[in-house]
Amino acid sequence: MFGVLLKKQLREKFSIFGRGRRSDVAGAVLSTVLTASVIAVSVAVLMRLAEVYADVRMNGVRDTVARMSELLTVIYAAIFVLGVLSGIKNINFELFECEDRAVFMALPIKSGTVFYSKLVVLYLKQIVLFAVTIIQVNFALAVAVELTPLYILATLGACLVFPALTLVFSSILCFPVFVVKRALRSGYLITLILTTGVLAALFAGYRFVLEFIRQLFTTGEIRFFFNENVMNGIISFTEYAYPVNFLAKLVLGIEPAKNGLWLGLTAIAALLAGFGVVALLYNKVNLMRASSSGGAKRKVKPFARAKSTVSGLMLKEFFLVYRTPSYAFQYFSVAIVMPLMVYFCMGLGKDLLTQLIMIDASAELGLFLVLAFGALTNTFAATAVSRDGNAFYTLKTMPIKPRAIITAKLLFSAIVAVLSVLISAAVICIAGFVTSGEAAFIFLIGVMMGLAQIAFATRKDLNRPEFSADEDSEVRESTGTVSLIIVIGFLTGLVMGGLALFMSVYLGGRGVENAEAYIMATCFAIAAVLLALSFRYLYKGLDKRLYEMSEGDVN
Amino acid sequence: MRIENNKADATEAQLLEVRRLSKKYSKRGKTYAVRDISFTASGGEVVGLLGANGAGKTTTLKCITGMIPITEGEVFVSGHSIKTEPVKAKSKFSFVTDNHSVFVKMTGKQYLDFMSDVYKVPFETRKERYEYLEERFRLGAAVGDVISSYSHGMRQKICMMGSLMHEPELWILDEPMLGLDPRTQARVTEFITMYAKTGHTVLFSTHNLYIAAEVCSKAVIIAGGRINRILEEKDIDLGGKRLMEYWYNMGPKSEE
Repeated sequence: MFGVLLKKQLREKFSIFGRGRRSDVAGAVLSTVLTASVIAVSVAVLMRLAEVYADVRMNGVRDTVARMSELLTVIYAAIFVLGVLSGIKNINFELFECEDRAVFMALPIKSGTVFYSKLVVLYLKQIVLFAVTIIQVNFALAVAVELTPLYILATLGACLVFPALTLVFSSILCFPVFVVKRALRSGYLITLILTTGVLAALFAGYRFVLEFIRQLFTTGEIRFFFNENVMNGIISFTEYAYPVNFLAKLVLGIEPAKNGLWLGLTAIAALLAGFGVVALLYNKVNLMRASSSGGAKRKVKPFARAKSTVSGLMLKEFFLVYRTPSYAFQYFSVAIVMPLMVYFCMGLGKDLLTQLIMIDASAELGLFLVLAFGALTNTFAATAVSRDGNAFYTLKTMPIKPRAIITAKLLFSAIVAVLSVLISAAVICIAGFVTSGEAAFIFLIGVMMGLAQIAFATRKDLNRPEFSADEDSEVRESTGTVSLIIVIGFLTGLVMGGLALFMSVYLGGRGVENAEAYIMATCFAIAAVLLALSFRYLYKGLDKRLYEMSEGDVN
Repeated sequence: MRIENNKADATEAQLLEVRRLSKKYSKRGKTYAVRDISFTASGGEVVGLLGANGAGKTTTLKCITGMIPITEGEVFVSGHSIKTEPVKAKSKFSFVTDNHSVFVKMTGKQYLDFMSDVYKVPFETRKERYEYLEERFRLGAAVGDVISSYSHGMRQKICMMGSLMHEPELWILDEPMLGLDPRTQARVTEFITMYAKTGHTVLFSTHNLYIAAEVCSKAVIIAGGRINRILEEKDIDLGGKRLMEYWYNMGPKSEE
């Protein structure tokens, strides 16, 4: 039975190019470019960090092996935490949310067999992820340590051991996480506040890392970061960072027998504990989920005042988004955090840009950031139609003009897009990065480009909606349009910001009067053309397209 | 009784006219899901669309309601073409699907509000209509819950209530009795009869010959995507005996 299930899981999870799966060229290109960029940057950063950290002296003594062991332990700990988090997410999905859950519950298959077959597939997927991460870390750090055969062998071994360890810890933690998620299920507002807070905190952490990297490369001040207090903290942490400290020492060849033994024992204990917990709780949790009512009791309220059809449709969109945590995150949290992202990046980017090109290009940078981050908010429109699921066809039987259906979706997406651009422009103006005139210009172009992206994304989704077969119709996988919107947003941001910068340098160099007015007029003209084209694309042949939409059609 | 008598408007004129309706799902293929379907329905009639699994009942209803495009033929509701005047045609009917595709993140009450907004039900009459429908369908306090928490039967009830908020001239239902408990089935059957008596038209698909025999004034029997026969009230009558005799003697085509 285990073999049969494993074969089924492997076929489903690794058939990327299988029949029926739509190709997402933009998504593939985007992820390839992003992965390559992240690897290149992190390798460069790690190499530099290894050099700097290896040179840190404790009591005047330079101990490269000890420093590398600490550095590797800290990095492994970070990877471990991320791996456990990703494992919890994947296991929770596979065990409690995946469509086949109910089918397996009714079949004469032991719960452990289902779980372990799914776990093996997750393990294989994690190996790929960890191999990419660990190999680049270990080889970047090889600038400071000797590249011995043991180091290479241990690196490959770590790629196999690490995913197993993280999955075991994830298996144990996925149950309490599930219970917490279940408890928060109908606390829509609390969930939204929590996720927004976590996102903001993550971004603050990201900013700290960026600032650290900037110092690492641009000034020698980073050496002062590793003072006595910080070093004592790092050393204490690495002493107790089980089990990753064993792995780090093993990789570096420090007492390999002892550390190998401890690592093995920890892994065995974790495996036994993890699988024991799963065997005990899997069925109970699934039964708990199966018997749950799926929603909270609400007070019956009197009828609301009569609304226009478009307002009614927008309210329908609101309930759908507000009561689906993943949509609420995409719609509200990203928009709320966007001004914060723009503000942080503005602070970092302004100094960097001034050092690089020796001119103040704050307005241009602000425009680029608002357009690039705005695209993240606007990706929400890329599932505007798909989110309705099969209920979209029910909508087709109602006396609503196609234009009203689509306009409601457009306006709903536009509300947060406009607000987040407005707040972002206000924040960078209040912080003194740009003048009020420049902020107004950034807002205007940001709104025009945002609306253009929303119109384009909505129509793209209408042309090729991907309705989920799940009971709640939730779109759980990113569609091709989402990747496309991110790419378009980034490129338009780069082009508009770059063009404004180029014109500023060029016209400024020639002493042209009213150079700013020319720049603004050019950007406005481009945005206006793109906006007009997008709206034409959105509304052209809309009635025909909606009439022809059909479930079960075969081309 | 809350439902208004619609007899004044419902003359002998046909409320629904299906004219040589054909549907192909594959654009290049030659296979028709339904072919040359023609029938009419007038005010006060209960029309049953009967057929075996895969006969084409649901496809016919989806084409009539504009849910899927028609390949050939025409559908008129109150004289309005579903192809060329869809909003006017759709304002005359409402459709309850067999899979209850409804906006599950709304509460029942919010859904009724939404349907009232879409069908432009005056605010003053919403409460009264809701109370009348609640008396018939008995959803109770669950109307304040999010629809995703509803059982199959409760979803069916909220879909029916939503579809009736504007008192449609033509009420279309796909397999309405599926998933309903016997008491609610009886209530729905009674309601369909009463609704037609007030001059409204009901069109529904079903496998259940007993229910069809009980409420239908016309039975359109579909087999293999084509109309096999249209039975009038006199043929359906006698406690449904003739309908059943006809059904079982129809031959293998109906069992495809």
